[in-house]
Amino acid sequence: MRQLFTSLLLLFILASCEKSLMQEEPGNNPLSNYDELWERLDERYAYFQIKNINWDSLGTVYRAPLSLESSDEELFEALDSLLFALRDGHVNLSAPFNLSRNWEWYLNSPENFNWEIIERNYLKRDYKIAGGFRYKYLPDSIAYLYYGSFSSNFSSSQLDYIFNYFKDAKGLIIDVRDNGGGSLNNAFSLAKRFIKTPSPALITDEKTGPQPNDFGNSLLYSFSPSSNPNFTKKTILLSNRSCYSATNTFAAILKSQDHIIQLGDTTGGGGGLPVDYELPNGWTYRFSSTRTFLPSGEDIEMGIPPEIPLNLDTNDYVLGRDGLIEAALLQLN
Amino acid sequence: MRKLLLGALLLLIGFKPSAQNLFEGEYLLLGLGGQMENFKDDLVSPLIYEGYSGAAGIGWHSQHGAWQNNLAGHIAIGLQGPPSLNDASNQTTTISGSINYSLRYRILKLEKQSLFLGLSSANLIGFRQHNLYRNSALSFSNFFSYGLSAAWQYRPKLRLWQTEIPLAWQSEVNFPLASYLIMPGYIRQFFNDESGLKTHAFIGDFWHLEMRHNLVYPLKNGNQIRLSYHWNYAEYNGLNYISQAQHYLMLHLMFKL
Repeated sequence: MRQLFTSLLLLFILASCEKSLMQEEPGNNPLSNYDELWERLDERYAYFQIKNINWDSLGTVYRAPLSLESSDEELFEALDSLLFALRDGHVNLSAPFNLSRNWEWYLNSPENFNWEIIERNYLKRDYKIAGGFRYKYLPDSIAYLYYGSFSSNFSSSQLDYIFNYFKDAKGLIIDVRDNGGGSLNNAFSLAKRFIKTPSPALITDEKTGPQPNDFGNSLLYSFSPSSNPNFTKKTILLSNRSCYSATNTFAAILKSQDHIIQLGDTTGGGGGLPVDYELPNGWTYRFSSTRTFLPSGEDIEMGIPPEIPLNLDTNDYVLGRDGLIEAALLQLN
Repeated sequence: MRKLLLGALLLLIGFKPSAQNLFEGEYLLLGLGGQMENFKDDLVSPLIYEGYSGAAGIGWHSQHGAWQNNLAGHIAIGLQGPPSLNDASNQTTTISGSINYSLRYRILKLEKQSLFLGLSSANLIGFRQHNLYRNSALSFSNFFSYGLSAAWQYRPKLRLWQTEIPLAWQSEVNFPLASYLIMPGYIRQFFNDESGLKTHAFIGDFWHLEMRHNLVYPLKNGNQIRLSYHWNYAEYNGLNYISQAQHYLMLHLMFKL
């Protein structure tokens, strides 16, 4: 009986030792947390070469002020400075007291958008709202469709209704200004309704290993005309620098279509898919680990330039005019 | 008083002393229990995660003479987090489980003990979703392994207050030699709707060990109850390092077929 219990006890003790078999956890101190983040991005961040970033040098510079005694705030400041240099809106570090970010891509550019003016002077009280879309016929049978976030989901039947409603329009303004992105599936679903000519639109690849040139899993995205109600007449896409991520991808897809003209400012960019991770101290962060190209080979990380560059004239604000909508109406008429 | 309590307990569970080998015959197993799980998944975190899950199991046991067949599966659902952090927001919801089949032949039979050797398929699965992540929130680690198996049976003659307790014990060790792995890719679980890594690995490139310990007690009509402790550990150092360990304790009802 004693042997049986001794054996049992031994088995339980041995079996609970697996943590000693597992790969060791990194230490949780300011230097090891800094090194963890630096190494993770060194191996998996997708845009060092395209942005010409010397990650080794940056790592050394921002690590220098840190020590084992550094406070959480000092660690955050060092990591924030390091990540800021990536110039990437898909890179963030989230600590309980702050969120690191680089939003220069739109803060350093004209706003080019004022919803108040659009609602009060163009849409007025009788516009329609469905699935995140706001839409209306403007004068001269010009359709206007505003979509403010690709995180706002919509159904296929909602799109059917909208595009049926606009089937007699002379032209259409698709306004995605200030749309900061969201779901790529929503971007693809909406873009398909504007496809007139089947064509390749995007190529993506991703990090597949730790070396700088370890990219693979390349995919070509081609789009064909939708069998559902769609719009293939002349279309103007309105953009500003706050068009980011999925909206940037949406603009890239529409670039493949000759009947669509982009008007306004270059989109904000954000062509990489952000992935998440955490530090030994529990702070989470995200970074881009895929790349997206136009069929011409041009990377879309820094934005899609418009065919017709145009900024809002601030004098127009006083007059209650949206210069981009006015320019689009001129193009369509 | 003690005899009275023991008598009441035996009546409650329908004890019927029997001299037969408790492992002989065919049984359907249904069980409920709990599991503790540890994992270190480089796609999720540099930290080891740990947590408890509720578990349910099903299985089939067959032993006729020298041949023994075992099929056992379990599924567990629970939350895991890094014990090294005080903040409870970093957590994964994990569905994990195991499916094991073994076929063994008795190579040694003594009065109270038997030893079996054979082959096994030991499968360990884990589906984890991190509650703070988005595009890379999902991580699978699936080991479909096959290799050698051994079991040791022990039928002690236990007496408690002059009453014979007909317990029996079986310990099993499964030692896979090769495994088919389904793992995340380098940066995320899926690429083009398929798992990032699907590959065969041989021992040395992966490690997998499984142990089961079962204590069996007879009930009425040849049915039995079985207390099982199961330890499963697997590790693969591929595109991302993954190791996973499960401990589960389960009470099975074994219905004689």
